[in-house]
Amino acid sequence: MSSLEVVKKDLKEVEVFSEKSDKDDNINTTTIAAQATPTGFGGVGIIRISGPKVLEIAIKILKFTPKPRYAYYTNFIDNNSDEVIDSGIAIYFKGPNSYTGEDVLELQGHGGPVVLNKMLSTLTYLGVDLANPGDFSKRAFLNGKLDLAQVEAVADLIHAQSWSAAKAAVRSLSGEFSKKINLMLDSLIKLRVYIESQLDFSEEEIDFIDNKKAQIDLNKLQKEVSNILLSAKQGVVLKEGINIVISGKPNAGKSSLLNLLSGEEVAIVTSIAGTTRDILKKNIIISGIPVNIIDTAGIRESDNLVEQEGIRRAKEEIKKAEEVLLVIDLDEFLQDIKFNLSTEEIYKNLKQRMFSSEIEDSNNLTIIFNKADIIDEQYGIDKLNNIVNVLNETAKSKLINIIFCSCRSKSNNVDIDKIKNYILKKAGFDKNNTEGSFIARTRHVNYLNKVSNNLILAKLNLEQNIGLELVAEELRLAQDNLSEITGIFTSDDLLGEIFSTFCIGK
Amino acid sequence: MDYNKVYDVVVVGGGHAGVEAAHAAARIGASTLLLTQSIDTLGQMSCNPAIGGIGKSHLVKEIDALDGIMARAIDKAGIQFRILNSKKGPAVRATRAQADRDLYKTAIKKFLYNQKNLNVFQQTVEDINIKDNKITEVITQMGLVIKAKTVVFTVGTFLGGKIHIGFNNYSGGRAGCSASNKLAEKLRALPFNVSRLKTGTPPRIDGNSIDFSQMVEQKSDEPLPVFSYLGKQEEHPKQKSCYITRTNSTTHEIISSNLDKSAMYGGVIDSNGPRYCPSIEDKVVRFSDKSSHQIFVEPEGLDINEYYPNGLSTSLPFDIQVKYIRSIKGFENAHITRPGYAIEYDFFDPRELYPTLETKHVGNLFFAGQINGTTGYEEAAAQGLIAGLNAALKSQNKETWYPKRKESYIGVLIDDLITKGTKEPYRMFTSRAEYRLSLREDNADERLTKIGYELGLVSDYRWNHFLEKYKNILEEENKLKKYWITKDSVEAEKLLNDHQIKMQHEQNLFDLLKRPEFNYEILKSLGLKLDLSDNLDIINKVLINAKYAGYIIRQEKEILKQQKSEDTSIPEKFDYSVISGLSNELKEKLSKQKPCTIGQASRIPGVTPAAISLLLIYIKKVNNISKAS
Repeated sequence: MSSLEVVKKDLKEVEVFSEKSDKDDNINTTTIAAQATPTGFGGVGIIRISGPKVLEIAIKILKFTPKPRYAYYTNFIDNNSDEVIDSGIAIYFKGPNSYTGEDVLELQGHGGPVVLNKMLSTLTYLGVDLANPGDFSKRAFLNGKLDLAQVEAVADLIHAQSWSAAKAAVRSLSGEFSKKINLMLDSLIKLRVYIESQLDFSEEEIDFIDNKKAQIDLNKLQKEVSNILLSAKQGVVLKEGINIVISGKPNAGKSSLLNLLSGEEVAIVTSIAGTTRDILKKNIIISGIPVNIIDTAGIRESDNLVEQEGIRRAKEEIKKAEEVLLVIDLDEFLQDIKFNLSTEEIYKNLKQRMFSSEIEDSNNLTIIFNKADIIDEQYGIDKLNNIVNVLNETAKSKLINIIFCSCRSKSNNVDIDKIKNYILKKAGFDKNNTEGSFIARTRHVNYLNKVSNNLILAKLNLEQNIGLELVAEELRLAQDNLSEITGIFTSDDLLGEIFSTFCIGK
Repeated sequence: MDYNKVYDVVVVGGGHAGVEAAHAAARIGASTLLLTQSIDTLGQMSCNPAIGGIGKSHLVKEIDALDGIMARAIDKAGIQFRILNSKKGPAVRATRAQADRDLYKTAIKKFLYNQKNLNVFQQTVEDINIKDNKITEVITQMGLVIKAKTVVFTVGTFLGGKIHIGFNNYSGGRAGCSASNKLAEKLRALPFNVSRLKTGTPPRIDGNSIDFSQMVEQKSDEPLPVFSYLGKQEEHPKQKSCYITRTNSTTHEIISSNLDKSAMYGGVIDSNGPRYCPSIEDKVVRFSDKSSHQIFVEPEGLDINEYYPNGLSTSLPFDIQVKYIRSIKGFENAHITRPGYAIEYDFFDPRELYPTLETKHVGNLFFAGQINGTTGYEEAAAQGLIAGLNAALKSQNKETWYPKRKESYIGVLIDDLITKGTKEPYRMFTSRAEYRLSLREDNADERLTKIGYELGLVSDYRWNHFLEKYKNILEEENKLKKYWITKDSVEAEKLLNDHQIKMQHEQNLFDLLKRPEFNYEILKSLGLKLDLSDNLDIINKVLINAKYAGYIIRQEKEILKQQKSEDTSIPEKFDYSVISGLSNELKEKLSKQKPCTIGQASRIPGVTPAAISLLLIYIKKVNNISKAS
């Protein structure tokens, strides 16, 4: 054997070490899933799965191997608990003869967010990633299933969908959920700052924490995550939908508005009396999206203890709400300002009614001027138009959202549709969006689960004392996973935290 | 006057980047000329006399795996060797060596003078000639015109260098050397984005005037570590200790009451210095709650009785330096041999570089080292090697190569620089590497030597040494993998009785090693009929392979997920303005920076996953059209 041949043979042996993972070719390595039908309640809900693991997953969920392009009526089974989640039609498409050009499984079950979310979370346990906006179309395009003429359309779709999905994600991050996540993020970063600085700056004089303290911090952190997960799973985040508080003085037309909003769909799920007589919760459905409407008593100064308590609770609800609708009787308002239509007077009066300390972000508040029709009747359409213009101008200059409507005349569906669409839009829901905000929220839960696993492993590594770098690795992954919810946190950000915490540099 | 020869590669600057660049270019067979202001300062350590440390040692091992000279030189010049982070896991374990400056320079010079294809020439470069947007010639101070196919600039802090001591400042590249102002002017006239950075050094102290009995001694580790994969302990010179002392409230008082005289605080310097290597003024101001800071007193050499008080870099006037130095324990009678100073210098936005370190504005011109905004000998050397290699490959019309984030710290360094740029002198830390667990000191050769050999960078000698080492490791692992222990064997009983380790089912020895409580001593105590290795290097390696197997597999999966975007290249003349749905801000950013791959684009701050999707679609569109035509 020549020396060259020896080298070649040896090269092969070394291959085992240095080239373990260069097999990747044209195909996407991940398998993705998404709801293909619009969000909310519908007769049929379709989940589409695409990628190399589709057949493997089909067998786990259906408990048999489907033939390509056959429709099966079958149960969809949770692989973990062997529990039936839903039943419906399953169709398997073998790539490249599918929408995306990859293996695709379509599960056509019943509509409704609870069942569909359960299906999606089962899939994520099986190693499926939830699709990003436009992912299916993107794969279809990259695999040559769409022609060049369609590129623009696909691009626009991705652009539009990522915008609304981002908005949806932001929405679901408001309020309590976001507070909890941010608290957890702070503790995670703090812990990482300590651990990473022990690795990168062990020569420095830093008040290193001992393993015990790290363990306590990790325990706390893990508890925080499981608490969030628990509340998320209980449906606070996932199932209950948007919280809307209707507020305003008695007789402003709150109840009419509530009835109008809920009446048409006739889909009142529950109607629970609140803890006090003063708060009434109604779960209604608008275009398939669950909306919790909380009807509060009018807020005013009161000496009555019971009423004071009611007002206190009403204020609490307003704080927690994702959207506050302040209903104002336009006629009463005009009387109140004595028809002085100056910007200052209008703003002053509105401000008084806004109990601004409870509503930090005026973007979450919308004023609904009710009974516009009465003004029309009493003063004529010209006067009404004039008033509407002045109020609109004022609102615009002070960045207040206002809508005019007439809840009295039931025939006036235009007004009520206007309000409904407005609510949906503000909540980040888009009727035309097939991968909407439920996915965004399911995705949060999915990532929180991953974070939780990382923390468990971090704790295990710390207890077994097998290298601080392994603890650091889990915490890094935990942060990576969390950053899918909170935004990117780079190693530069981490170093910045370290440098501002410790005096580094000998 | 024309020089008598046309070189494939001309390297301008003989610092740590320059010597690696020249040596690498010559190794792969390019005719190479190294130009330096002064042959006496080749391989000079301008700052602290040490190589390695956490993150940096990883770079040194990688340079060594590609047959660079830094590790081999420090093995011949190191007078104190230590392993840092030895208990925190193999990935963050780091070698650090204190150097004798003169021995180091001598070792470097020997490597350069003994390298085939490499000439050294003492000349200052003052001008360059560019034709058709490509560099063609460099011109020296005596008007000599040297023709070159490619040029590597490794000019360190010499471009527009300005030295500050208190309010006094003068032009200089380092203390005692003049700055390259003419060249700086020439380069500033090109479309490069130039800014200023600063760094500093402490005053040096005469060892005879130090009372070491008041300080804590720090010796070399035992057994004595080595840097190079080819290194031997016998190569090390005599060892010498470092010492540790501390600042105190008097020191801090002197510094804070004289802040207005500091160049940095008096407003003379406003460029950014490194946050992780602050001046003593910075430390006193920013961490005023700390009443004392640690000072490492490092020897400058075996016979030279001069010391480097690490942690005291400053731009205060000389009289204040004397005052605060003498307030420190052991320094009461200290004689300062050289004053400390801060230096400001030009650096070029590294986002205007390709990953090969060739500049985007001028073809065949490569930048490496501090000119790109980094700090540190190791960071400079790593870039030098890559720039020299690619300049040589390009001059020979061969395909260029650069290491990726997944395979090396050098890859992390270059990708960070060209993707994110830098606002302060960039230094390596292990936390910068997302694949930290895979990028260890112990496996730099495993990651890079094979590719280095294929590129022609690695000598046959190193290659054979490497093959032999891994053959032995493979054999040892196979031995362990083939030896099975059943749960009711004598060995299992022994494990339970002597070590409280319970066997659940039949397992081979390698899998047993994966258990956290298991190690080689236990293995050897079982009295197996097996010839186990006594070589510590082999044992260590097998142990890491076993214990980290799960983590490495997971990391490989992570890498695989990224692989496709790293491999998808973006056409160089790609028009970002046609992408509908991409914000104008991103269009502008991407057009300016021209990322080479989708992976690089995704790491540019502000680029969203949706933007990447759009980008992918349009690239495919462009490719389809060009295929069709």
